Amino acid sequence: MTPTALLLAGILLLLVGSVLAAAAARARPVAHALFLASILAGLALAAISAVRVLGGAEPGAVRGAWAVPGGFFHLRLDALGAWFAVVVALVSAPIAVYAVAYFARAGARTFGSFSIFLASLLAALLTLSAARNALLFLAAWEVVTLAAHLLVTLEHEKDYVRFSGRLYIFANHSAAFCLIALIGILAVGADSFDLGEFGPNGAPGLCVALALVAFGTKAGVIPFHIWLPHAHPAAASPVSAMLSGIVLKAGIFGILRFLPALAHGGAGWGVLVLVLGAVAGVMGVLYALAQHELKRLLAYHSVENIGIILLGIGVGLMGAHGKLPEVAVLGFAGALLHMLNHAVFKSLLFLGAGSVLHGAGTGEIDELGGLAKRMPVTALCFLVGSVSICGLPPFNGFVSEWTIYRAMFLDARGGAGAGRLAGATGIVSLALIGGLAAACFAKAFSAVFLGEPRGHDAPEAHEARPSQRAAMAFLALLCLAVGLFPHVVLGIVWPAAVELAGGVGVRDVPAVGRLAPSYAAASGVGALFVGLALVLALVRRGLARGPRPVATWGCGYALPGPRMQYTASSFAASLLRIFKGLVHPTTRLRRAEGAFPPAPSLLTWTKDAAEAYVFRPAFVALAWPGRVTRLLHRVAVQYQVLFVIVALAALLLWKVTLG
Amino acid sequence: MISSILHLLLLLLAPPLMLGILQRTKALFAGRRGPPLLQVYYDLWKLLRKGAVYSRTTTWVFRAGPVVGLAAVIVAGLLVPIAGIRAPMAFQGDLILFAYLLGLARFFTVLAAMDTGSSFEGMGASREASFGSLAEPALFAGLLVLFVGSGDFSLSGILGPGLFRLWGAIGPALVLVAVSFVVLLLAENCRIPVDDPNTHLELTMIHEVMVLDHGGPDLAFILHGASIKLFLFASILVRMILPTATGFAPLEALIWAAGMGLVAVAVGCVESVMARLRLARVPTLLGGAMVLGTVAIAVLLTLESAR
Repeated sequence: MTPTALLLAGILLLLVGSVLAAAAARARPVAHALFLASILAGLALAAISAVRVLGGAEPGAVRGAWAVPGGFFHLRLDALGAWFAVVVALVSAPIAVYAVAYFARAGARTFGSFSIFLASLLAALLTLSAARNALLFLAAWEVVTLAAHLLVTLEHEKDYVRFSGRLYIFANHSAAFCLIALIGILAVGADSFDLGEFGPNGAPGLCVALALVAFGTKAGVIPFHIWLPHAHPAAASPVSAMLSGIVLKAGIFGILRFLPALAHGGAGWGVLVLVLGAVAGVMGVLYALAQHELKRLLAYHSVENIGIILLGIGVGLMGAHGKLPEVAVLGFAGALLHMLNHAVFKSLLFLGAGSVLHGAGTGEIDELGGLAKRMPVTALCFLVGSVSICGLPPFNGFVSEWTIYRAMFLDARGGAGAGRLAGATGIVSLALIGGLAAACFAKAFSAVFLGEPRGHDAPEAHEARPSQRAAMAFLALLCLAVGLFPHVVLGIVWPAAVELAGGVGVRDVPAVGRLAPSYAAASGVGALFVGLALVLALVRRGLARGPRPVATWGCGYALPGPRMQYTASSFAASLLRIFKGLVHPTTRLRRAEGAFPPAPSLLTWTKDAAEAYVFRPAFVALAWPGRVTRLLHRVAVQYQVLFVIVALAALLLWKVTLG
Repeated sequence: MISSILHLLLLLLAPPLMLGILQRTKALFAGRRGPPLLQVYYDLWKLLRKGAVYSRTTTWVFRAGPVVGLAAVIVAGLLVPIAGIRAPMAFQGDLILFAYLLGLARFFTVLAAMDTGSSFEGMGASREASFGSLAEPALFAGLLVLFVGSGDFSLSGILGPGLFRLWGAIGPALVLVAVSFVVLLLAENCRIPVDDPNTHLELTMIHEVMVLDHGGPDLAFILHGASIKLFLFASILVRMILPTATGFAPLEALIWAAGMGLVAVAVGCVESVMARLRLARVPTLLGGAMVLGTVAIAVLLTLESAR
């Protein structure tokens, strides 16, 4: 069986199993077993076929007629698609395990819908990875959007959830128009709907703009990210994990899939993507710093990480333009690695946030605290995710950021003109992003898990269920494994990166063996660090005689209380003050003044510039014509009939006089 | 092999001496005799033999902080050439790993401080996280200039014998980088004018207030880690300012040792004659270092295109 056929078998297994699970939803244990078995088996088949392709096996193809003009059912799993399938399979499996326990208390209807929606989403994503026909790609793309919308609005009884779901589907459907236009232009140019035939054509600027809107909206690139900070907190936590971990990556995958047809827009295209990535990265992390709600904070970090991936793609394109094969392939490899890494640690963090929400009853960071004592496993997993997302060694985030750094360093040295400056800009921005991300996650982790509980419910918080803990532990171990064995992972991603580089005209790509030694050395440093930390911990344990528990030193103050702790807001305040020109935090302070003072209060929030100053005014303006025509609907029926007759008469007159 | 062992011994044993010289300099300025040069060693020995006291609020994160901090700084030290000795571990891209290992140490120190639930330590942690993230771009700008100039992608290569010729080629850019590294050395190691290690008011501290609740062996780990960090920054700076290439190892080591002593005395002088900046001014200073790094990149690109 060829890998592509195996992938198709996996997709069918997913779909059939989930429908059966939904049908049996009332018999809960049966439904759960059916759901898990079909999802895990389907994903395993997909992963096996993808690994075989990345290992060099001939992918084979699946062809079939399709009753759509120009459409043809053509699947072929190339290296890039295989890498995307690996990401989907590795991350969705633990999310599915977590979700079963998450929805255990929910009604049969909710679980049944979830089962079908999730399977449709996964099936569409896997189809997307192998689709070779543009219309098939488009169909899978739309199913991804619809399935994700249905998953977001699973708890549609809540107003905010419905609003977020609407925003999501409006944004992504508007973007889909751009994708349709893009495919139209490219198909006319190539005289075929085959993705492999798509090439450069007469309107490169228009194509790049359409691609940026179409794929950027799905990926959450600033300024098209506005649906993201609403949809992520509104969705159930496993769904947020899927959205942020996988669905955003579909946007990146789209950019990469269409890269050969777009990359001939010259050097400017690489610089544009790189600058977009730098802006998205810095603004995403600054907005994240300003958030008070855990899942919203994580959502803005997705914006930041998509920015980092764009840095990689941008420098890869510049390397391709500047005839620097090593830069090109390192940039693409870094972007692909970060695709996987972000999927792993961000879904881990969202699952951790889900456990916090469930266990402590709130996601407001300033009402939490001290959860590490009540939820030790969740705390440890969340810490691993935090360290990984900050790009700190010895975890996976470092591996991909390191790769992107290397590409940018080499570009700044060997590139030409503007490319060198852009490389330097990318390096400085990525350094700033890394530092700010570390500050943000120091804030988030410590305010939620460390210190004393600040709110009312935090002391009674309870740990996640065993299967949920296992799912988080799996993802955390994955973070460590990628961080400790970067040379192995580099070898797996290399074929996909080489294929991408080849697609944009890069020849003489260096063999992976030339870079592997430094990755192996970094792995050695990581292992050395882990070993040394363990040795030091043992030494310290041997040294410390009888640890004595006392109260925290309050600098002489006798009655310290949990409300005196530094909060997340106060932690972030000093950085936000420095960057207030960029994020505009708004403060409303009510002082206790006068003889009979009101209760003092302080409110701070941050407007999203793209939402508040671009899209909201634009859509309000768009709504005006609608408001005028709506007046017509308000009048009595006989007048409406009159309008119809007048319109008919006018048309008749026009036809008679002119025809 | 022997040079690696020598490197490791220097890395583990020499750093506290630098702090001793620094404190002696400050004492001389103040008209005191000051503590013995080996005082920091005595302090470490005393702390290691003490018992530990832990707040009931804290968790294992508090205990992991000093351990991770010290381990990360030591491993980072294995990437830096010391006293003309090549680093035991040198490979393509290790300079990025060096910066991120220091970031890891900072991250865990901040978490340990937040774990106590004390507002004072929260303040210190917030400041450390803020200033640390602003220092990062300046460090990378400097590393980029060194990399582009030398064409070598490891710290040992950049700071190797080729540095002497590099001064002739891109001297003006290197001067800017050296100045920004001086600022970074003072900021990253919590010296005046960014932070005052000897201050008595918790409200104005950064590093010292973060480790307020640590005692005994934990504090010893933190103190040693801080001394190693200063030692590493000073080593890089000394190599940049005194890029000798005599080819005679003992002479190189001697020049390096003299340079390290000079840096310690210079930091002591700065601490004695300057006041600490207001905390709101620190970002301006770090921004200045960043601008210096950026200008250095611009100068470098101009110099290269002129050639």
